[in-house]
Amino acid sequence: MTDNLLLDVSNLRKSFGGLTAVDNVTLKVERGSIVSVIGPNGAGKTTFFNLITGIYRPDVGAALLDGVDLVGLRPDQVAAAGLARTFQNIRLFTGMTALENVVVARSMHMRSGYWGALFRTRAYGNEERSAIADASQLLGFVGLTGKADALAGSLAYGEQRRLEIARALATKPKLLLLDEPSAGMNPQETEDAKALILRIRSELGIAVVLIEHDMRLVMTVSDHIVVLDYGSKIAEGGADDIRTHPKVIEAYLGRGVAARTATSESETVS
Amino acid sequence: MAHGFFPGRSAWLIAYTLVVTLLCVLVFTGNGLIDTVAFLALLAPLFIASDFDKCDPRVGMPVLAFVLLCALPLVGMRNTFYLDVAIQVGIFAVLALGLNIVVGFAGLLDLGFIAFFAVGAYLWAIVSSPHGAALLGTGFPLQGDAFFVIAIVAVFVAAGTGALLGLPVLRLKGDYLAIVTLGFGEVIRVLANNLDKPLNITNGPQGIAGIAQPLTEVAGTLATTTAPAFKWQALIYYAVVLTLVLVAVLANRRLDSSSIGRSWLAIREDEIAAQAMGVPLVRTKLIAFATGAAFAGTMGVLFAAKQTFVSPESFDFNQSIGVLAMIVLGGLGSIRGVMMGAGLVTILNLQVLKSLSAGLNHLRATGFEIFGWSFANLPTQFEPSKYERLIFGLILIAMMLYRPRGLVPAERRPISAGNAGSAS
Repeated sequence: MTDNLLLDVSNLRKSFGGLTAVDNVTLKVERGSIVSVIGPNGAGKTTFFNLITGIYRPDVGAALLDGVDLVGLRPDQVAAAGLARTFQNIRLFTGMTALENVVVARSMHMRSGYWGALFRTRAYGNEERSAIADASQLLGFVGLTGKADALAGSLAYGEQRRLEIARALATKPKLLLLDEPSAGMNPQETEDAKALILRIRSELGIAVVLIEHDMRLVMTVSDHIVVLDYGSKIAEGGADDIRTHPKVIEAYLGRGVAARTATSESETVS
Repeated sequence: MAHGFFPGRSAWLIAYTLVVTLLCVLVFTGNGLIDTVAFLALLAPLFIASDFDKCDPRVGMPVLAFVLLCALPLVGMRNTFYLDVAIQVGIFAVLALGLNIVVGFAGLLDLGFIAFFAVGAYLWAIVSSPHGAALLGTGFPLQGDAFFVIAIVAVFVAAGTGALLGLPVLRLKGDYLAIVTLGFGEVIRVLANNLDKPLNITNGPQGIAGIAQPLTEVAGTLATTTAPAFKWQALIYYAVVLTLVLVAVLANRRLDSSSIGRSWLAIREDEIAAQAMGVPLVRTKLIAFATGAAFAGTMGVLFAAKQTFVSPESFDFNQSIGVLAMIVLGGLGSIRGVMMGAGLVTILNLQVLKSLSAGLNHLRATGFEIFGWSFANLPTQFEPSKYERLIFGLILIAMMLYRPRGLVPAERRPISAGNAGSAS
């Protein structure tokens, strides 16, 4: 059981001044699982991601990825430890091509580096070629084969989301954090995103944690769902548990609806 | 490859180059305004032939080689002043290429770049002058030919200084970084100015004189066996500078198109995303800072040897701004652009304004009249060479208004799945 545990976040807390954005949150992710973090706007979901990826430093708590403590590491060290992420408001390198965006994320795995580049050693050439080949393959994986040489900024919105996923995958992560992968997408694109998430697990064997607002997506892909509200975890469990959980309904729809559903059990979050 | 390439164009380029070379070598050998214009016309083929998008490299490369290896030395033989100008342009071109890595590629605004030039210059000055002998004891001063060893040592000393200064500084961003680098640049100059006590290291404001020059025997032999009147030493410097420019261009190109160059660009585009994709921020910036510093350090050694004298005032804030202006004028991140910027600014400073002043003085002295107005009425205070900074400022303002990305805007050659690692 413990052997199967990939990410173990315990008692994470972060305050900004008087506001406790993330309060005592615990999260466990098993290998090969898909976990969703949901909650109303401002619940602290993205802050939670920022805490475990080294962008913010938590006040209290620990985050172990495969036994490596992520707290106190810089974002690039977190990436090297095997945790990759995408961003809620897409952060691509817009002036670079799609292929280059993905290749940048590969540089951490290139050994020949500076002197190799300066003297164009054979090792450097081989690494460069294999990085480009890998990146092309990843672009194919997310369905952007024909867009390799297009500037990232010129891609359509849905393509940019997929490119960001390809870029994160290029760091060869053990766990991928997706921050609202279907935000702003139409139903068809959301279906594609869902298929991609499932393929990341089945074909690449990478566990996924996603923040998502689209409940249909969350309910159908997740093995486990965690609900945050005002920085605290208010519920967790399988899709069915969450759908009917009174605290979740209260957080999303207000106390009145929660009270009514407690009696009629007809309304659920869907 | 050579899209937009006209067959007739190469012929014109070759003919033009030959005619201008002949004119420069035979006719316009003086220091007047016309001669200056002719000299600029001689440099123009360098600019045209190096644009391999419009000019076939099979024509461009020989033209470049001809101008650099034949035409310029020949013109320099006739009038050493032009050789000096070419050397000066070369020194600033390498400085500009170094700063281009820091500002153009990595996007770190460095206002104290000249400090590393000073580090290199003082390094050679101290180890090769009588002053240094008094300081360092037996074994010093080094012979002039140690120049080549020290030039390589300077690469590492300057890079080390760059890393040392960069480590605390590079955690800052944007404006803050600019201000702190400005401060550090001044610190180095003030150190040079004041490190004459308690231990006399830099000889303070008097500077260090009597610095050794490389290959003096070779120059001497050439003078006795061939043309005695000609300054062979200058030609040696020209060859050294030319080599260093080529090295700097190659390093710029290779770094730009490598994984480290892509990391720089990624950091420039979005620091947080770059870091989250595993690009170590401080380390990547430090590499840029140290590489730029290394270029400056090497050129400092050459500068000290060529001048045979260094003093703190050669390394003031204006120099840092001057190099920055060259790369902004030419086009940040554009290798051809920053070299062109270095050339134009240096020639404007050294030649164009001076010859304009000389020309005006001549007209004033002879009382030349135009539309009934005599040049003798021109106030003696009016000297274009004194308005260097003003003219410079006006040019920069005009540039920012009309060509904000520089004379030759940077064009990246993105990698694609097809040309993996094929760039030179």
